[in-house]
Amino acid sequence: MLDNLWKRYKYLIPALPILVFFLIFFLYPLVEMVRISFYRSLTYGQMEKIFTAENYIRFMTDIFYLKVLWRSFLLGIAVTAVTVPLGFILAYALWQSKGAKRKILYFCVLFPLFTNLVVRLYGWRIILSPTGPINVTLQYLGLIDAPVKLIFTFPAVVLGLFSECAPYYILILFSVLTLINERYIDAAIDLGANQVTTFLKIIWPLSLPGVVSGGVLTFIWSFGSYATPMILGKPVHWTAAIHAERQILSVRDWPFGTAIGIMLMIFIILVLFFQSRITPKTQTQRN
Amino acid sequence: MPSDLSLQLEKIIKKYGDVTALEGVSLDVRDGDFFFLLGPSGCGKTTLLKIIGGLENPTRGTVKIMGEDVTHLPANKRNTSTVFQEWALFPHMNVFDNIAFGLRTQKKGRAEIKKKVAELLALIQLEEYQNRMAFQLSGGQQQRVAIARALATEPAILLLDEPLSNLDLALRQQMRIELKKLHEQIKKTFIYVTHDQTEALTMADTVVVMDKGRAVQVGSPKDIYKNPATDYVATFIGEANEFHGVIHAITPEPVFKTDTGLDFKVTLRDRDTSTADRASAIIRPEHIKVILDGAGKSMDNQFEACIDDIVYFGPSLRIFARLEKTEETFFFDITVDTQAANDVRRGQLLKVGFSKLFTLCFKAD
Repeated sequence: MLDNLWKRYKYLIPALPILVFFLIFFLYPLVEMVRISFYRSLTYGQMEKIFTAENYIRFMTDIFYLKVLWRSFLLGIAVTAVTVPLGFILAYALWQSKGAKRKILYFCVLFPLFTNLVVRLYGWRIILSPTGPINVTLQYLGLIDAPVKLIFTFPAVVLGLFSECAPYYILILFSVLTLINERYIDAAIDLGANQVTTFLKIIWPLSLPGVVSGGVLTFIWSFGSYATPMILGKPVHWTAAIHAERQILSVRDWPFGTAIGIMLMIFIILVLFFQSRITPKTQTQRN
Repeated sequence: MPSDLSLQLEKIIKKYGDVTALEGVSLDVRDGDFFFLLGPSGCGKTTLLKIIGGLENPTRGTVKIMGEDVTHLPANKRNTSTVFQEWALFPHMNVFDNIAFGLRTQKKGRAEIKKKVAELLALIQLEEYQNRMAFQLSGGQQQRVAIARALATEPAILLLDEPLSNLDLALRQQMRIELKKLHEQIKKTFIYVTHDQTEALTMADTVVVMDKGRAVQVGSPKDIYKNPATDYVATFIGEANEFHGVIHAITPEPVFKTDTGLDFKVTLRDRDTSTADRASAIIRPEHIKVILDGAGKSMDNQFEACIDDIVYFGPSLRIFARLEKTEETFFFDITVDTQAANDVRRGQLLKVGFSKLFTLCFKAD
């Protein structure tokens, strides 16, 4: 019996350190959060240790938080809608390029990841500010009379999240594109298809697994984003994640803050479940 | 322009940077011919096939299909279809959609597509499989679907790029026969690339032997086997013993001397050969005979040889032998159930001979 167990699970031994790490630093806090989310909140950050679902009920019945959730959802959709086509163009270019050109492009895609996120976001703040390069250039060209409001807008938040998610989306899609046998494209052209037909009938369907998983990653990332809407947006653009943080650290309402966090997690699990249902079941031909 | 030519290649040159893949290949292919491009890997045969199909552009030269210059026509506007080496069936489509792909790009009607695909499925005997995905088919079935897909657009020329190389031996032999039958049935020009000389010898109407970007010899398999133009062709097509040496004498009859000092009478294949030229002599294994007592007086070249090894081949025995004096090694075949075959033993000394008519001598390059 014990011998049997050992045989079945001994392959997990090398993974033990990382498993222990996850157990302590991920699973334990998570369990703790779930526990706290069912407590009753008192004043000055105190909690009454009883079992109640009132935090969840409050979140789902308060029109303010429902609006926050809805806006986070819209933000996720908007960022995904921008990232999927634009990122596709870049991933496609990366796939089609060769030699030094590919290396340079690859570096350009990865380079933003070398810099800290907050530093990058303050960079965007400078670029988008009323006295920043964009406004100055537009004014110099005489296209506008007064500076346009760019920073602290919804598009600014979307732009910031796009620049954040695009590298990951592009890398995921690129790895799927490289699995496409170039012979399929030769075969399509050989059978009389033009560039457009070849793209729509061959390349696009075969790249769909990458588009879907990259797109879902982008959505989840934006939906749960924290720093970007905080730095590039106004409170009206704040995501549910920011509100959870504020409940915990500013209002000191741990039970309600953790309940928001758990709700976000459930929402994302639902999205992933939905993704597993719509992912096309394509098989690559193997020899 | 002779009207019965489906393909004419004129001085095709292809360069990749400094590397020359094709050095001026000119070929004429009869309409309805089963035409083979044969050569080792890297000889330019696949590049040539791509140039015919329009998937590559020649650096210089002209491609004519059915008498029409198509050199600058891209692949999707050419009247050719390719069966790719790994078949390249679209993995996200079923058999029906794969075959219908070319018909759909031609904007054919629904009913017509259905009829045509059904015909092709009948031709390849896979009627039951139209809803299967490519990966659900065996290698041989995928191969047949790839052929049907290529034939759907009714190309003037069907191009096949080593289509059997991914199949196991038994299936390959069966597919050779099926392909040959198919060719007889539909009477289209097939251009077939292979490095497998057995495929070329057994299936081709015409073979072009390629080497280092050149077409070395064009002819029927029989012609090429019997009258190889160069020693390269002789050793590439069929098996042969090759000896290196010099021309010892031209008159009264040509004599060749190997580097180890063996001399024998030969037939010269190159016109401008003279004494002391470097050369090589080719003898096919079936042309070396065992000389039993008294017989074989007519053999021009006779030697005492020691048998090193005997390998059983089924219908024949392959004998590996060594000449007593000069240590030259060579091999030859004898039919089983003959006196000679029953008598041979390893280590035995026996007399072998070969006629100068079958001893072909080529001047070295």
